[in-house]
Amino acid sequence: MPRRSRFLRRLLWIFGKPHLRIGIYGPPNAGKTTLANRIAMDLAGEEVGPVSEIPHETRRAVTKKNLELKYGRKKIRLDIVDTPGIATMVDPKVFMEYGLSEEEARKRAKEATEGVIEAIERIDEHDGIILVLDSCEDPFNQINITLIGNLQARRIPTIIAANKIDKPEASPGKIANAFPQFKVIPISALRGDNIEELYKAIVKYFR
Amino acid sequence: MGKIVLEYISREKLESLGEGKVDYIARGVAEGKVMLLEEMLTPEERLKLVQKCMGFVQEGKITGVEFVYKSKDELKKMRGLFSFLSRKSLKRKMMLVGPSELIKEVKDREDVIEMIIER
Repeated sequence: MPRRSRFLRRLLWIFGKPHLRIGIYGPPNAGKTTLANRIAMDLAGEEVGPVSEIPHETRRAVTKKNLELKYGRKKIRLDIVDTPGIATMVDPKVFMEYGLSEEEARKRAKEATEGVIEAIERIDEHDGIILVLDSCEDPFNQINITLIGNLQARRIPTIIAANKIDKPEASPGKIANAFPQFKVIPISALRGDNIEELYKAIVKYFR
Repeated sequence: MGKIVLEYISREKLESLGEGKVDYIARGVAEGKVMLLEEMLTPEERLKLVQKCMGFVQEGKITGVEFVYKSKDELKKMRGLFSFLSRKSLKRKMMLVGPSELIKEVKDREDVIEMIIER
């Protein structure tokens, strides 16, 4: 499904039927599914998928459709797509360090690579993207810059969610300094800190 | 200790490959080569490279792809108002690409890029 043009999105907005398809992207273990669950719980009372400390828990894109976001007098419908983490490497040995058997690790690696391929393939289908980055990690890495460069080159409206601000070592300011051309919102998807700001930004930047 | 092939790919060669450039690099990575590109790939080409290499990961040939280039230059250009105009000048930078199992670490410093390779 191709992305709707900005013009068409604006028309739908003006005539009162805004319906946005929003992709949640980012590297593995940044908290994408935790955020998708938070949004789906807030707006529909149910979760999108399981979370785990083992990387690549989400190996297929999962869509939660028709969530209603009310903001002020405006109501918009959202399809939230929780995508597999984009990584440059998928090594079964890493999964075995988390206690998976060799067979389970190989299966997980195969599914994870399919997930990465699918997530990249479908990047253009979204009206807006929430890029979830871990604020405890250094934002200057090749995959983050590659993702940011793609979103910018493809002109996809993007908000960066600087996640995990509940952790003492979090430094969301580093992400804001690294990518000043984007709206960066510090959040804790786990605790729900600052989620209202994220909803406000969805309404403002994705319409 | 096994051999490691370092392949230098000139700007002319990259240009002559046209649309097949990313496929060529991904195949090289899958063969275990470390490649020095005289012209860096655009963000779209790099994401396509990751996607192609994931196909080789599925086939069990590699565990992934690593690359390094002077990202600070790219970030500086990306932040500018006329970022689309500076894409061509950015390409005049070198880039190192290799399979994840050989690349132990990449360093992207102010004036130097490094890849630490170990079999």
